[in-house]
Amino acid sequence: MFHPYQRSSVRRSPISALNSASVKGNSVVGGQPPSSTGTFRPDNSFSASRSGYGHTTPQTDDIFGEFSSYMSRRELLRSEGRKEQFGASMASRASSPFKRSTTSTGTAASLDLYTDPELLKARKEIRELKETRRKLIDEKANLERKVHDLENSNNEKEAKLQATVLRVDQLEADRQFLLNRSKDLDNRLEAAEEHAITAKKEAELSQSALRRELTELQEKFSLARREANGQLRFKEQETESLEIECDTLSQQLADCEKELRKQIAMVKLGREQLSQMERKYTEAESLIMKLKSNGNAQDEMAVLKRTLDEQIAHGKSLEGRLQELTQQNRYLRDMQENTERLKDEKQALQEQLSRMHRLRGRVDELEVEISQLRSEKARWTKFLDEKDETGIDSPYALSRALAQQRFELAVIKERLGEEEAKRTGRENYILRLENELQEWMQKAKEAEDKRQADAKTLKRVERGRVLAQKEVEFLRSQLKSYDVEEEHLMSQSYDQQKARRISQLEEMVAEYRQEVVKLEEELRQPQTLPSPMSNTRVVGIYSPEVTQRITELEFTIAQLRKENAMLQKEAESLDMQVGELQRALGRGEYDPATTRILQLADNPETREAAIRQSTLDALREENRKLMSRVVELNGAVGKAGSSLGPGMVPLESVRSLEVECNQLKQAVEEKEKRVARLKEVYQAKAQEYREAVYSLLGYKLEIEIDGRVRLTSMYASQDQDPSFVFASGESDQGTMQLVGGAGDAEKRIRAAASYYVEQKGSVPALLAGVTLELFEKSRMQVQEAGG
Amino acid sequence: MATIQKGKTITLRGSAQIVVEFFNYGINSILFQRGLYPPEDFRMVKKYGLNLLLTSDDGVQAYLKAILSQLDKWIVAKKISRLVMVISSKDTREVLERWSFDIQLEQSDDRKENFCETKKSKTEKEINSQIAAVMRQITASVSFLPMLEDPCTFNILAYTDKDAEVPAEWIDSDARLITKNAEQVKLRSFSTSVHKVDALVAYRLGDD
Repeated sequence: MFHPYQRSSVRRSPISALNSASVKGNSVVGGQPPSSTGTFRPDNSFSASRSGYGHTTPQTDDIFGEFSSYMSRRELLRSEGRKEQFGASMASRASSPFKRSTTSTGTAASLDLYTDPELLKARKEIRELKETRRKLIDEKANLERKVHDLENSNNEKEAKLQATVLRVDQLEADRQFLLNRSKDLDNRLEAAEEHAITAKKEAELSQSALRRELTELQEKFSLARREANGQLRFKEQETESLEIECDTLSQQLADCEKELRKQIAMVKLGREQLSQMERKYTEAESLIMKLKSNGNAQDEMAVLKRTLDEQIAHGKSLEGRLQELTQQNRYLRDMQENTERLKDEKQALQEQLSRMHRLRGRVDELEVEISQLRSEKARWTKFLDEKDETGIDSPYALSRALAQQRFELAVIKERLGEEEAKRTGRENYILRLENELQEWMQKAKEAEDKRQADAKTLKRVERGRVLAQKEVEFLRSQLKSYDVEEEHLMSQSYDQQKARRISQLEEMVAEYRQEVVKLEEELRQPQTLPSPMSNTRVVGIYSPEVTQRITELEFTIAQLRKENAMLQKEAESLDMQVGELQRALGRGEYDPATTRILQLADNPETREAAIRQSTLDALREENRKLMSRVVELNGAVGKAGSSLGPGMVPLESVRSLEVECNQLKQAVEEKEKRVARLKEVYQAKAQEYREAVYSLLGYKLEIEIDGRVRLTSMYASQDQDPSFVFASGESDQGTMQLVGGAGDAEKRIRAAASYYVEQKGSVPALLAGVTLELFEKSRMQVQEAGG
Repeated sequence: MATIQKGKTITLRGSAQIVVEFFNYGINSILFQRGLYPPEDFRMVKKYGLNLLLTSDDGVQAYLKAILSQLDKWIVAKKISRLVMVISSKDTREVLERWSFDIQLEQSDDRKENFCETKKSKTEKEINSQIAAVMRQITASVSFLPMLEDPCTFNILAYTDKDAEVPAEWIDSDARLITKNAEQVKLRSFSTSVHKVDALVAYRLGDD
């Protein structure tokens, strides 16, 4: 990325050094010509003073200055990049100073040639100068070469620059490509990053959710753990307390037992001692006896007696002790019994305790319930207190009031609807009235028009009348003139004509008058026309009263409806109450103020209860007695030292057997009773059966003891007609006998029997035939008796 | 048995007799139907067009006679409002069933004559058919009443007015209500046009 200018600046550095050198020389360049022109004093006053100073340096400096100025100019040119002009300008400028110097030297030689040492010196100087000039030219050539070199190098550089530029372009293209590539990659990267960000967000979200879950679960876990711990602790405490209780109880029991054992041991010890003592006593007695038998040693006797006394006293004391011990023993036995009882009691108490626990649980539940109910009640009361002025003090009243209000609202709504309907009706009515009014107005207008027209005609008529009057007057004057004329002309015979004329005229006038009157009437009529309006006004006067009345009635109706609804509601609640009361009545509840319940003192229930009570009492008594007996027997057994004999049966079993015996007896009685009942029933049935047979078949059926059946017809007379006796023998062979009867009747029956039974083989047919015959006979007898 | 003079209106006394008779047969029926005494202890009679059973146990007969004679007195004196037959367990004395018969006067004294005249439609036949319906219902009630598992006994309670005359054999009793799970079924009623008798049976439903 090098810039061409940069390079030029690098290259300029030696030139600038040259340039700085030429600055010194420049000041001397100006000094050279005056020295050469010092001979021309008039031209320049300075030349004398200047000639004294060294002048070799100024000359060289001059060339150098020229060169340096050239160089500087060239540099400028180069900076403008004009290489081609450079060569020409340089040639022209280089020539000019030489020209000038030659001319100057020519003039000096003409003045004082070779004479002046100074001239020599000058010549020498000129030579030197020429040499230097040559050197300078060489140098210049050198420099030009150098310049050329430099130019070459410059070209080279430029080529190089071109190449570099090319390369730069290439690189630029590459860079572009790479840039694009990088952009592409950036985009991709961005996309990837976005993707990564979203993924990360999601991951974070899920992570947080999972974390929350985790914390929740941890919380639950800790809660459960705490609960479990609490419960565990509670249970442990319970068990501990129970164990402690158990320990103390077992301790007590062990103590009691230990004591008992101790007592028993003591008793045993006492007995042993007692027996020992008895043994000793017997020994002592035998000794005494021996001593007595010995008897000889009288003095020993006293000693022996004393010892004996001592022994007896000792024995007595031992006996006393024994008694004491037995007493103690008894006491201890009692104690043992007591402990047994205490154990029972303990058991009972434990049961009670558990029951109490259960009850406590129940109590807790109930308390919770109560608190709930209380809070509810408090809420109610609070709520009700807030609007105290309503006088409502219970939810029931509240709901009642609510229902009332609701109903009122409904009623009001209903009334509103009614009012609305009425209002629309009114509106319709008003509309109709307005229409009517408009019609009426129209009519009035018409009437007015008519009236105006009438007035016009009236005016016209009036005008006509005036005209007619005028005419009349004119005619009258004419008449008068006629009169005058006639008076003048003929005094007679005109009267009649005139009178007729007058009368005619007067008639005409009357007609006109009539016309006028009629017109006036007509005129008056439109004014009386709007009379129907007054009619409606009357209606209008009446309607407010009616509507008021209607509204009042409606109000009362609404009130009544409300009342009705309230009453219905009340009736419903009362019905409910009635149902409840009926139920209570059905259960058998009663009003103790007005009613009393009585029962016969001797009723089955009390009898039963009394039996039960008496048996219970008897059993109790028996039990008590038996208990005492057992105790006695136990005592006796203890004394006798033998167990129950094999022949002895416990009294309880005897009693229970007795009871069983009684029960069995009762059962037997009941059975007997039942059997007797059945017998009665059978008898009754048999009787019924026989009667049925008698009434239906006409034979009295008697079963005799030996199994024979005796049949007697209901129509048979006692003494004459026989009765049949049937007996069934072996192998389904029966015999028939006729018993009793006499004479005629018997013979006939025998004949019938031989006919029906022996020939036809049917007993029922015989019986039916006999029945018929006897029936006929009895009827005939009755007829004879009647006849 | 004929308690009514034919063709005439029923008097208070006649009505009382009808009611008492009804109670006699009703209580006997209940005793039989509910199995309080063995079936052999009963004999069948025809009454109200039905076959009804009367006990032949002397003790029970005596008891019922005592009850019914007193009942008759109370009905004539208008001092009784209800007769209840209580069936209770022998073991626990718990009340299991209550057969309750409300006795209501159908008319007041002063209007009795008029009433009878205007409404003498109740003949003996009609009354008997009504009573027969009640009896049939008592018989049919066995189908819905729970079985009486324990041996049971019975008692009869009379709900009388406070000022009723009470013989010495009668003592006060509690109401003997069914304590729990009580159900009740109303039965038919009958009327003699002087008295109206409403029947109702309340019973204890199973233990649960």
